[in-house]
Amino acid sequence: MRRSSAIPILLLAGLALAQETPAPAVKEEQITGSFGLGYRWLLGAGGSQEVYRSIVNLGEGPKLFGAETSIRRPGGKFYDRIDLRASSWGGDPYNTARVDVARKGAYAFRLDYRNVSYFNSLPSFANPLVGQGVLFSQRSLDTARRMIDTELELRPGARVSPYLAYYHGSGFGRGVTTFVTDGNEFPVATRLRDSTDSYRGGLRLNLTRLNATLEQGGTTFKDDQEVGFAGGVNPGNRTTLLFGQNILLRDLRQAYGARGDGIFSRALIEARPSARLSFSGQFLYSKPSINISYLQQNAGNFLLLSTLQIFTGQIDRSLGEASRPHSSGNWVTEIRPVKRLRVIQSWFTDRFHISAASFLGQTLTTAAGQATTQTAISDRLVLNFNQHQVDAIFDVSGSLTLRGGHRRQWGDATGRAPTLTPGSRQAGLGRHVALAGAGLRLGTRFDLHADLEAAASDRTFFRTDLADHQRGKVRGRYRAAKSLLLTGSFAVLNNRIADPAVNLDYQSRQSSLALFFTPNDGKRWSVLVDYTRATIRSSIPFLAPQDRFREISLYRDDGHHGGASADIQVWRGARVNVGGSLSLTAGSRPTRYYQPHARATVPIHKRVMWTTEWHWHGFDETRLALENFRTHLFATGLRIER
Amino acid sequence: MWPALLLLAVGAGGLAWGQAASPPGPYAGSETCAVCHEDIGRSFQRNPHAAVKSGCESCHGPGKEHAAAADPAKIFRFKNAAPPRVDEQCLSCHAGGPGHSVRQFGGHFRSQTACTACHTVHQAAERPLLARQTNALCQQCHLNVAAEFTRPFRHKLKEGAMQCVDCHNPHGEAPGRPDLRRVSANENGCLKCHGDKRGPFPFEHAPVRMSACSTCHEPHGSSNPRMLTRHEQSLLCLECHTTTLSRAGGTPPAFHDLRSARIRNCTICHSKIHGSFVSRDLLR
Repeated sequence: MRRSSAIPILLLAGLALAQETPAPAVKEEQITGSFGLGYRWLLGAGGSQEVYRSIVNLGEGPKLFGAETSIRRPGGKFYDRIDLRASSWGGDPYNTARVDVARKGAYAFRLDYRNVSYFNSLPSFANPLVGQGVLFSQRSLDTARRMIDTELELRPGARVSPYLAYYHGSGFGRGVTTFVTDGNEFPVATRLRDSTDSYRGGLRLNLTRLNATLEQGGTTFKDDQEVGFAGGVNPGNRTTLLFGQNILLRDLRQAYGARGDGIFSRALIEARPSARLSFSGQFLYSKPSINISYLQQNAGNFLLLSTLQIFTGQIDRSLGEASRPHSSGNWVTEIRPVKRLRVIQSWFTDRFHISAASFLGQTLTTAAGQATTQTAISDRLVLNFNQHQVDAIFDVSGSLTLRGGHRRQWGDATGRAPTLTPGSRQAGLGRHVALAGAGLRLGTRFDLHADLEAAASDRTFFRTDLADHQRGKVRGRYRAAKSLLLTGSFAVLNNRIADPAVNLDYQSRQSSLALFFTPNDGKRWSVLVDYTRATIRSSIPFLAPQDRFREISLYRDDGHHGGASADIQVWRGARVNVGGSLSLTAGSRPTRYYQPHARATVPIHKRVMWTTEWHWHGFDETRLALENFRTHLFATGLRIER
Repeated sequence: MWPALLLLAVGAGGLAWGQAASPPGPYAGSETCAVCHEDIGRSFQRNPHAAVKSGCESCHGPGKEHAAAADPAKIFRFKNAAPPRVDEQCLSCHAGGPGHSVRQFGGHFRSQTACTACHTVHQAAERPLLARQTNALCQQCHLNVAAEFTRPFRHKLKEGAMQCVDCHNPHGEAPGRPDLRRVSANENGCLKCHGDKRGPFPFEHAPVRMSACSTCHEPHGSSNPRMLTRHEQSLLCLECHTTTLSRAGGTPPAFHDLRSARIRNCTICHSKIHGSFVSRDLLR
């Protein structure tokens, strides 16, 4: 045999030996999933249906309660995983859908869709006429928001992984708002329409000791609200004459046209040069800007208070623009000088500068003719915020960890001065916070975590900001048996500003207990119970605008909140679940909200379950009985699984 | 002579290649693990970690000694390990990227909550490898927050419209005001859904940008309409709108007579309370 012909044969022999290792098995496509179809009835609806819709808003009709499909195709050419999910379709106020498609090492695609209906019309909210028996909110909304969020990542987990993402959000609907003139305000109809589109793309770099992400994106935004009134006389909220004049609205058209765009950039890096040292940092920048055109035409009988001039018509045209360059950055260094100790130093800064200019041309029609004025206004809001923090985490033993640290926050802000005051207003922030904490872990059965912070501030931006405060949180978990878990938590926050011009005193407490009893992994029955007691006490003086006398804003909220759920297998896979939640609050706005439910699930075939459920929603407001409601919801349907 | 040497070399190479699947040194290989841990081995095929080259031992460490002695103490067990040790093991692969790189700012990092407190690799009920459905999982520890969602005016979490992780990043988020997920690089995460509040407005309401939505709203749930932090609008507004030196917000002019119901409902006039395109006083 010639040498040249022997070599390929020998190579084949070697390869043949190598191929004795088992090749990955080719697997079949697996499809699993379920969907639940049914019908819901509203029974015995009583009380305020406007409040029911504002809080619950579930309706009658055929429903797709939920659907899930999962497709696995190992080694598939175009995909190896598809997951589809949908919930609450068929006229329900909260529809969601999600699609995940991926092929290992090639791509991962995600699409998230949500459609949220928002109805809010509480008769007592923003209603100055409620005392006169008029049950009509002047700030009500019947709108919907739709959102589509998608992301495509190529070569996920590879050293270099590019990604692209797109988001679309839109809001539309109708409502009631007010048209405001000097001395009166008129409830009028409004139509809302806005949308945002956002695009971003970037690269992720995944190395053994270094990860980095670079991202660039852009947004566009538009808002085309309209407000109108026609065909009659709108007397507004004023019930008395103003300087002998009856202020009335006969006709109105307001049209907003806002168009915005912006860019944003993000750079992120994390490095772990050694097991004892790691760094991470981010730089974030965005610059949204907007252009506005506005037209207002109104007719009626109005009064300009500054000159006591009566006018019957008004045309306002406004052009404006604003931009908000916004930079943020942070840097973290984590050092492990010894095995049990970690020291983390972090720094964060956040700063923006909103600058705006607006031009308003106003023409008033008076008995003497038309008078036009023109006004140019500029405005700005500037913020510089900084934070520096050092934390030390020490593992005293395998079961006990202690933490301590210090946080310093400081910054300054400049904004426009309050109405009728010239110039701008400046505010500052200076805060030192001492941090402490502990974690105790005894085997797998018991753990306890405590976090405490105490702060002293010399300046705050606002009168109600966190200032001289103490915050504590303790959380514990005890697994008394394999099937019994007890958890509890306690949180407290005290905040004070002793400055006599502010004199804020705020306290909140939250104590919670929960029990999870799941004997035999809940196969036959299980019980979950939780209870929380929450209180808020707040007191802060303010100056009553009409006389500058000092009054006190007091707020009290004493709440008892709980939930329970018992799940029982009654017969051959048939299960019953009963429970619900309640919220009872006393104090400044006493409310009671009960939501019991019962659900039965009966298998009628190997893959078909019949489900029936009942929900009750009962809402009581002690001081506003007109807003109470009670509703039974009854639903039945089939859940089919594959 | 040459053919013989070549045969030897290639044959040996082929043997070496053939043996590559049987791990060297202290490693036993996933097939060996599956002999005893049969149920885990079976379900592991559907697990994203099945793609990891070293299989079980990429997380649990070398297992040959454990397999030989059948001694649980001779392999890394997540169940009994201290949280920092668990995190170290997971982060050896999962560090970096937008999800984890700012974890030091997160509450879970500070409270030493291990990755395995939420994620379970072998018997995940939910994606991504979560022990339970997301909201139920968060509720197990954050009982007080879950209680706020029993109040009447709330974000629609219980109704399935959203999840805790839509607003919060459990892996940590760079500090800000508030410490929530961001949109468009560094803008307030609330604006992702509430896009109409995005602005920038020519006339901003300062706390909307400088502070957080939670200055006026209880984001989880409230007994007050519109999830406000106070039962009366005028009190909520006047707590800040009282002239105090070197703080934002000033007392409204004297015609704001609180004895009138019209005035006590501030947003009747100041309808563009989140920022206005036209009016300095947020009236239209």
